[in-house]
Amino acid sequence: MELTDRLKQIVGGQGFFDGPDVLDQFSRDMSFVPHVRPRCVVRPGNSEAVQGIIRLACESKTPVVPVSSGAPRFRGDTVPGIGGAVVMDLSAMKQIVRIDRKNRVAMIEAGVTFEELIPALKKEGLRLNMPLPPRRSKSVIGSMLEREPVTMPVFQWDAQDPLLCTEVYFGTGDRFRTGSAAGPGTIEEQWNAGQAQLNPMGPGQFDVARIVQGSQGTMGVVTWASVRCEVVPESQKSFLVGCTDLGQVADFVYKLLWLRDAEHCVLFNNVIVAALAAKDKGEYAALKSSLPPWLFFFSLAGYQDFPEERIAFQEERIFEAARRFGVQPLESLSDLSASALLEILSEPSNDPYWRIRAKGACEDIFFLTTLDRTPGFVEIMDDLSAEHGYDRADIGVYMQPMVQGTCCHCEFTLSYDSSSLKETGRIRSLSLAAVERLQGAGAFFSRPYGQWADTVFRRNTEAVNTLRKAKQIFDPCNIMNPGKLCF
Amino acid sequence: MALKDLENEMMRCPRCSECKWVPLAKIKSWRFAQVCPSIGRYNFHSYSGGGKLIMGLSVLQGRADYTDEYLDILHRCQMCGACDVSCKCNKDMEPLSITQELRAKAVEDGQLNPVHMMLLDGLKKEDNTMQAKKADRGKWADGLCVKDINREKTEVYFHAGCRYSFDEGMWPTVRTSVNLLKTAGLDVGIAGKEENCCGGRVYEMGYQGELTKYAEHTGEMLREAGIKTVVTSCSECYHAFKVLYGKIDKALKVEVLHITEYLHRLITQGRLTLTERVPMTVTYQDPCHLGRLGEPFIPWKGEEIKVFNHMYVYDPPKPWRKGTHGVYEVPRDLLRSIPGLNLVEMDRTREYAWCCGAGGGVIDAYPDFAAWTARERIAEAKTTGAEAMVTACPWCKTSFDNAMEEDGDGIKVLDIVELVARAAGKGV
Amino acid sequence: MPLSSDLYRELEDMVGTEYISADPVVLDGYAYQRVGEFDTASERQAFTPRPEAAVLPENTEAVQAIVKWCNRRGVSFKASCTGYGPWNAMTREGAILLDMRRMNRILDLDEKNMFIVVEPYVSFGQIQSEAWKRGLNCNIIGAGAQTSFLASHTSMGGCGIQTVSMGYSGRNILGVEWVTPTGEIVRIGSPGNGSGWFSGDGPGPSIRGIIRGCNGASGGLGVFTKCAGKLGPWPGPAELKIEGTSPEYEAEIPPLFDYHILEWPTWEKCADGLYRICEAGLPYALHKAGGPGSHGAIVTTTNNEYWERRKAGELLIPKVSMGLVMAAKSAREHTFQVKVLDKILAETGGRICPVGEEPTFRRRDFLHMVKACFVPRLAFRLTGAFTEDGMIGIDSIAHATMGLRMDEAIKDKYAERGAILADGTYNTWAAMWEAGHLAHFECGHQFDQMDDESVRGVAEMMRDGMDMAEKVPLASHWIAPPKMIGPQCENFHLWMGAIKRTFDPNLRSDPSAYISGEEDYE
Repeated sequence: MELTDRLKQIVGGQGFFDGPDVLDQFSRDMSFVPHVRPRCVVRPGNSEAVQGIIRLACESKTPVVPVSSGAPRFRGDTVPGIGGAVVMDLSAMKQIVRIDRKNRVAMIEAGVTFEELIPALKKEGLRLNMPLPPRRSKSVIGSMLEREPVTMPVFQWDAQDPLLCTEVYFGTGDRFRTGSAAGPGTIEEQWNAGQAQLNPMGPGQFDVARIVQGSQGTMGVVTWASVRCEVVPESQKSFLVGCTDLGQVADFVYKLLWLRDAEHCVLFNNVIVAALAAKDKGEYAALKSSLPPWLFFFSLAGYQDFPEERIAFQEERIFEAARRFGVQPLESLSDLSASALLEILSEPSNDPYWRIRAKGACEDIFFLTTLDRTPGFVEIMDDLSAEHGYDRADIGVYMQPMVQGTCCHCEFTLSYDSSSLKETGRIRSLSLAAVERLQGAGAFFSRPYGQWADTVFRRNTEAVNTLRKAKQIFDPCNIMNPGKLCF
Repeated sequence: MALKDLENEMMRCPRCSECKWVPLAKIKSWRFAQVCPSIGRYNFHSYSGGGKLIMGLSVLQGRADYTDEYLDILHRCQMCGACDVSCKCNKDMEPLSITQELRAKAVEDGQLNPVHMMLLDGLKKEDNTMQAKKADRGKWADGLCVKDINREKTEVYFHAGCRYSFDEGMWPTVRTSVNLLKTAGLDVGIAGKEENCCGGRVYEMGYQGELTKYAEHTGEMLREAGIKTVVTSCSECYHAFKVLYGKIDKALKVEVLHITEYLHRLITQGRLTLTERVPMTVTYQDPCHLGRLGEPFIPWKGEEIKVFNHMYVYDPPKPWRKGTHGVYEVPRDLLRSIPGLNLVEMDRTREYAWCCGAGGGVIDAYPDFAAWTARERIAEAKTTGAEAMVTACPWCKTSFDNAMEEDGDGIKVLDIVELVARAAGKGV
Repeated sequence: MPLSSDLYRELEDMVGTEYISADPVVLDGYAYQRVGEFDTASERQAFTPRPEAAVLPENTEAVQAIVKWCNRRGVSFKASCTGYGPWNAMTREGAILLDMRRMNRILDLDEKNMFIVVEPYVSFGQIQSEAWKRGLNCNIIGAGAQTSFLASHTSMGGCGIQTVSMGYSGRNILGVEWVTPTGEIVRIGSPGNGSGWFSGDGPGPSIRGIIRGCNGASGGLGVFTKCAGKLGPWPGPAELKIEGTSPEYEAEIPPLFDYHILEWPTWEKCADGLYRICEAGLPYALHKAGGPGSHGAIVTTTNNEYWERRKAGELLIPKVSMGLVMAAKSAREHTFQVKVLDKILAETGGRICPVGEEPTFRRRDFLHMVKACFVPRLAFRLTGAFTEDGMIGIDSIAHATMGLRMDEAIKDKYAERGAILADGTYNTWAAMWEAGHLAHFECGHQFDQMDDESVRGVAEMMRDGMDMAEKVPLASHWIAPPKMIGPQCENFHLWMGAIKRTFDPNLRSDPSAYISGEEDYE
């Protein structure tokens, strides 16, 4: 039987797509990776179908590219690396399996988006540790698999968070459930024993979830996961600190990280804040020019027991620290209220996605470092932008302390008009140059997408060797998203 | 005790490695967190307190036999008791006693350290461990005008010890000790050339017979002289009189005091006053044999029983020596009572002080190891900013001075008696 | 087969004469282990197979040279730090032991970014002493402060009394330097790209997932020569005011700190209370009272003292109880914590247990809860040994409290039979992790390994426990042997075998506490 027919057997006719529009949609994204048309797109509805597809792909040596989020996509990881690929679109797997308020956990399928999950959690008094507002069609599991930074570092104990247990299908077609979901017992039996799939580690002396996270779909496909949630506060208060110099506020941020009082703890520049908060281009321009160059946003929360008192003691010592460090937290700054920003940060983005509102496209350059080193990287980007004729006033900068303050995600967003070939070319070369130079200055590109991969992996051949060995174990036929990372 | 009787005890070692570290609650820094010089220098686990238990078990179970390495491990140990304190902080075990038994067994089996043998030979011939002539023993007291207890009855016997007796460089200190006692109006006497070694050092090397001999001799001598109190400036002698003699059922039936204890008493009684300022910042080295090993020995006979199904207890309760009641505060009080003196502490003090390096026959058989140990302590002393390290044992002083002789870089080392004398206007 | 003199000489040439030994007593220092597998005390062996030689490498390059040599010469190897625990044992002959003691430096303590970079032989106690001076702290594992930070983070488990606020070693680990079983040096995470030590993940997939899971490889997958690990805030003094002389240490509880033993009438109410307490962010340290802390043994200095006091009716820790330390960073927070705790206890039927309020108990147990300094008092002093009966799990608080409740019957049965300690208290262990997002429990029981009946009883008890763990089921894949539990858990042992064979194709890294890779796999 033809591959196509066998695929149709697995996903049903309604789950199989090979029309030109669909294929075109999946042949490209907002990144600079080469456009490669897939052979077809399949949309499985359950884990068994996923397994069937992978087994078939293995048998026929057909590349599989897993996708769980809807368009627009940005990073190149979901565009086939080679021809003849089957795109496995998981967006139809939308079950919110379970929300457990007591254990602060939810179990969801791969296609569940932030837009779908957030209200469901809210009803149960829970919330997610969110990345900077994702697009509406962004898959929650997709975001977590990418290790996207989250805006409440106090709740991120490990880079893996908030992802907990997963169900993975390797490139061999084998199923593997990670963490306490692995067993003993079925998921239902575990629930009856009071378990909630909370332990993300193992089973055993290795961690599949960590190997799959960050793999850009090259190791396997995650069909569902348990995700750690936090409680919706009874009361919240947010603040903005504006400053002209990043270094000025850094010590204050470090103090808050040490105190573990602040929940949201986000550092960005006026460009990003304006892009997030503005409803239209006019408002964007006004905000951008009225806001100080740098803004630090943090929130405090009170819960079930004496919520106001909790916020009060936190506020007291934070303000004391602010005085000591010469900064001033305000509840509103220029025309922006901190509480409005809090709302924005707690929900997915409205359409159009905030990142592309300014000019229609953007290139995000991001890496890991430590907060104290970020000013140096800002300087490098300023220089590079000048060298490449990009207005530095248009660079969006986002710094996200991570993992309870042990490192910092540093991101530069370059908006551009993708309909202009010249601009596109400029951004493309600027991006490549930036990765080279920033990496040389100590930036750690832990998530090397698309054209960055070569630059990053050239610097770390030990990782390449190790990852290729791992790949041999979990995807010996190299069917899972070949051509990505170092594979 | 036969080694076989200790097998169960050896098997109780949980291999936790606490014997290598300062009692965990008291770790104050990365640099000065460890407490065992043996493993500190030689690194293999066998060198630790627990390691020696395992070594003994290995030989007992026929898995190994005496080798040069075995003997090196056994003897490259100052018997300082730090492992014992650290282990006993959390367990009812006796690691130091077991090491002592291993040494005794080695001697019994003819596995002798040649340097120790030489010391023993000298001891047998001349009643001292300094390779010196017995006839010269009393010379340190020439011109001192002090009673000879073998000729006149007296209440207080001052025992100089081998080190003080024969190391001329130390004579000013030991003479000062006696003078301070006399100044306070004490009826004190010495044994002069009739004084013998306490037997403590060679006991720790494994030669148990000598201890018995000297215990009996000393006991007899004191009885005949009508002595009520023995006082000594040597911590090793103090340990022998106060603890070891009791262990072999030859306890002296007199009060045993270290010079620091007696001086403290005299000051408290107002019989000695410290009025002269000694403006210095000093740190204090707790001698092992005065500190953690100087804890009184209480004889005990009983048995180990099990309660609560399997909990090991002793019937009657065993008076454990866990380092709790060593002489730590008295020397410090003495120092604090010196006008103008500022006492600062090292990280490792009291029951978990780092050894000077001298004990257990190490300064004799492994002088490089003794020096290494001493240098570790000197480095620690220097971190306090003190101008001098004060100690209350001639072996500590010797070990530090020897180490600094090689390096040239160190810290002043003073005997506590020197400072007390200075403050009393009776400088050395 | 002992190393030939030629092979010995080759090793000696690499490390230096002073840093290698094949003397039997030196090797037995590493072969001695309190191993769990035995039938009777008389059959119990104190020694596992001896290594062929013990070597003390000085640095990563030396380790690499040794490992490459092992591969070339067909010799197995295993690295060890303090060597505490049966996972240090080698179960087969023909291996050499790398004692990592000489690699003992703190390489960096990044105060602002709250992490530390260390070599293998740096202990938790050393790290805590330096961290406290800088307002920081580390989670000290349940085995105690003398154990190796790196070994815990890279190669072992990693929970402790303060995991509720300081995290778990396996999740606190950042960058790592790994000498693979074939002798390559892989720097995992940010150090691999020359960026520093702040991240252990990437580029791309996280290689942390290869080297460890719930537990590490315990020497079965090469040697780890450097690692970075997270620290957390410490609002206490640079040094605690500790009074007393060993073993009578006790600490003045610093201002703004609190210590209590909390008790509830049932495990269910206890779970309710724990969920609330954790969600409120109260605990700095939190563990089950009874073991391995907050127990009468911990605050007494000899078994005799413990016995006398128990006979007099003292030190009776309630069965359903937890030890709690709170540490506020301001006076107002302290007031808040006390008020919230009182409210939660009232609402969940709990109370502050008077046993923990006795001043000496309080000061001693508090010290232990923040320094993990008295662990052997319960684990070893009481009866000589402890073991776990297979009732174990890491998942939710409800699961942990359920497991503890179920284990009561096992404990009672074997205590009555005379196999284990019966002192009227319930000495199992549990800790809440990461602000109560998860929890673990382990049912440890004290027994006498020198007593045949005790040993036999305990062996049966373990079978009972493991049966129950399977039936319930308990989230027990943490400690159970891979081949035993693997078939119940996605056959993970087969994947581990694949990892083993891929990264250790010559099977040189001693697999005694890992998987051997020698089995037939599909």
